[in-house]
Amino acid sequence: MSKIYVPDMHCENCVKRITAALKEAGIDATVELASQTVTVNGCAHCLEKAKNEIYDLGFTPEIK
Amino acid sequence: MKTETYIITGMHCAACSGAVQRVTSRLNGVAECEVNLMTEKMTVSFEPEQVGFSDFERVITKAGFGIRENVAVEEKVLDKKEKPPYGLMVAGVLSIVLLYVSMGQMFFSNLPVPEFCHIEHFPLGFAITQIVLCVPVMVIGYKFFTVGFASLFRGNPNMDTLVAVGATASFVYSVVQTFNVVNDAHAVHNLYFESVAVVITLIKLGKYFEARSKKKTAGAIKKLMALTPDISHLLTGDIVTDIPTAVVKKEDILLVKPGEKFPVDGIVVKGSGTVDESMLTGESMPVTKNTGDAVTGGSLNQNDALYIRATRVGKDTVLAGIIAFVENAQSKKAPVSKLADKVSGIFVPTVMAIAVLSAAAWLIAGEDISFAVRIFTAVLVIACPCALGLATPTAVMVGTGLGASNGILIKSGEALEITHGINVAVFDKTGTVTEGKPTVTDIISSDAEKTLLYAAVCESASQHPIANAIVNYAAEKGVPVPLAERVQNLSGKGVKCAYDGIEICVGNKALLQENGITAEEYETEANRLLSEGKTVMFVCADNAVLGVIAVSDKLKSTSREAFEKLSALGVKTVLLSGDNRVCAEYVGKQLGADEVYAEVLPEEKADVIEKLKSEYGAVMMVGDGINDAPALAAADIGCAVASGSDIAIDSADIVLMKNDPTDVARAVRLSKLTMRTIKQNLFWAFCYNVICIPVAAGVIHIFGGPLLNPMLAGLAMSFSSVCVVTNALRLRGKKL
Repeated sequence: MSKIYVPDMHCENCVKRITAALKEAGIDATVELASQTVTVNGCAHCLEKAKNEIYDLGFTPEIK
Repeated sequence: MKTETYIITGMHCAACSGAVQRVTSRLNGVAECEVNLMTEKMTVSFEPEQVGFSDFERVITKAGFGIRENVAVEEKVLDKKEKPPYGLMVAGVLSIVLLYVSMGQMFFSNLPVPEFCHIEHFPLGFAITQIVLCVPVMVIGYKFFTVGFASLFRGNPNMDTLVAVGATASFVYSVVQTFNVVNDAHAVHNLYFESVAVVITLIKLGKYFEARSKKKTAGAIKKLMALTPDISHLLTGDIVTDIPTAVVKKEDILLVKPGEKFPVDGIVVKGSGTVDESMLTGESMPVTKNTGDAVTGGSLNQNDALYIRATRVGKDTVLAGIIAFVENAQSKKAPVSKLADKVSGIFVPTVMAIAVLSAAAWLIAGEDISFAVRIFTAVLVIACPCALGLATPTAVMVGTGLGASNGILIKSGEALEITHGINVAVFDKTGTVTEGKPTVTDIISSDAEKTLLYAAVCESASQHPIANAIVNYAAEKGVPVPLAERVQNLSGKGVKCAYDGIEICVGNKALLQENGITAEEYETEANRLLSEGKTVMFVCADNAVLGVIAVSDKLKSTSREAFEKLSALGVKTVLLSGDNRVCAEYVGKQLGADEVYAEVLPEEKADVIEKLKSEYGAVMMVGDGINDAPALAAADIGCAVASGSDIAIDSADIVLMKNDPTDVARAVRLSKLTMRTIKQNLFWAFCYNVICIPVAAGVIHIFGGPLLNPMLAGLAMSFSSVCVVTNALRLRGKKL
């Protein structure tokens, strides 16, 4: 289980978009607005994939 | 390089617009991308060979947003019509049916009603039908209950609390009575379902009208934004390219063609010409701009092509500042404490105290709990004034109707309420108390006709408003104006031409000096006219002064009367102008204004309003220009004349359709009359109910009388409604 830090996630709408995109990509993850983090349940490959998905949404994700 | 503007849908916050901007900027071939959250537009500069719409669509859709190409089509969709108030309509229909079933049978015994809800034949069906009709109305009006009880628990009961408590009590009481119908058919007379439904429906109706009028203000800001053109002509080297205004940067050199509006604030770097700044400054005279002069985005370039260097773009422009100010002022406007709310604040706790006390008193006197509960609800039910829902809306409706038939449009009930209490009325000068366009006022000459003829000949080729004034005046006087030859515009000085072999020139003192002409015999007259704030022009033929023509913005014929009427109503009058002090003081003296503020810059007008507000209390602002919009929004009451700009009209609370300043005094009088009617209505709404409270509390019962006579309750409820409506209608016959 690893976390991705998404500093430019500001509102509930961002959370919705990330959640939907990750679900579509088949990644098991939870998105938390307060700490601006996405927690991914899975391997390093999943983590990288999730990061790319979030990047494609227009965010600047960092793997912690 | 190509630049396009697209519509982006689905954005909610700054993070969203940032995301769209980032995904688009990452594409190869995109040079620049800007996304505006408010207008939902994205402007992209890109290399068409490398990247295109399909790429934008792919990344933006992936990011969870929508993109569309055609701006025009999308804007129509955005302006979609507001949804009709379905809930209110359903509530209205149900209430009418309910009224028919309940009251109809009580007052007219032979009314045709279905057997299953007949009051005599099938009382239980009669009661249950009413419950079925009443419950949906309560569901539609659920907000009254949530808001009303919430404010009650916060210790701040308002109008909603009264509705919520009254309706709940009536409903519960009536449901209990419905059970009693099984044993005692007379209990059907104790049902108040219809009053529950009617009160909710009426108050909802009032709130709907209020909300609808409030919505209009949002339009002002959209119109302000539309003032600057979407497309600017960018000059790079010798080539002019059209680019969206949104991507114009500071220091860009832009071409503004004649007849176009300036897209941004800037400085003229090449060319000279006249610019109409009236929409920003309110002053009708065009201003001559030469190289080095500042121009403001939104103002109109009249006759000559001008090249400007952008100095302020985007949200830094003067116009953007005005927009921000209007938005700010509108959101800051203090909420009015409504009279009905104030009354409820006292009435609700009092009634509740009486209800509790009387129930407690009966308990102590040895009655059982069910009796006490009955007393408690009976007091609340009878105290809930049905007609309270009518008191304000009927008076406001009749009041606004009376205003409209007199050419005074009042946008909200609140505006009508506040207007009666204003202490200061501030008038903008140009276009509000004056005609707004210059006219010829004086011709001083030994040969007035010839002076006018020569002036008109010379000015007929010009588009300047002063020229128009002279030409129009000549047409009015029936002076035919032949064509002039060799017309020469002497920027900032006047006009020269040849006619009939004579050299004519019309212009100011500078023109005389330049040509070495003296005008001693007209010196004193000219100075007198100047001291009255008029524009003075010398008409010369073959280098000798023929006469003097004075042009000024004349006062409206009723302006003086308006100021007198307001003073008579105890309202302080203030004149506010961006014009020079001489002119403003002269006009102020003519009108009898209590105070004159001259040379006020557009952005300072709102400050003057704030200052007056802190000094004197409620302030009304009367104006017509875009430059007045912040002041109109900042004032307690903004009042726009209908000939003014759309933005002023949208920012205002009251619109004077006839452009007659005396209507300001009429609006104040109308407001005073309406307020008086509302107060009377509140009295009638409460009067009968208050009388019945002791009966409900069981005072008569002590002496062996009935507990709560249903007939008495029914009469009190309908009489108060009739009184309120009749009283409101009386307002219609008043003369303003």
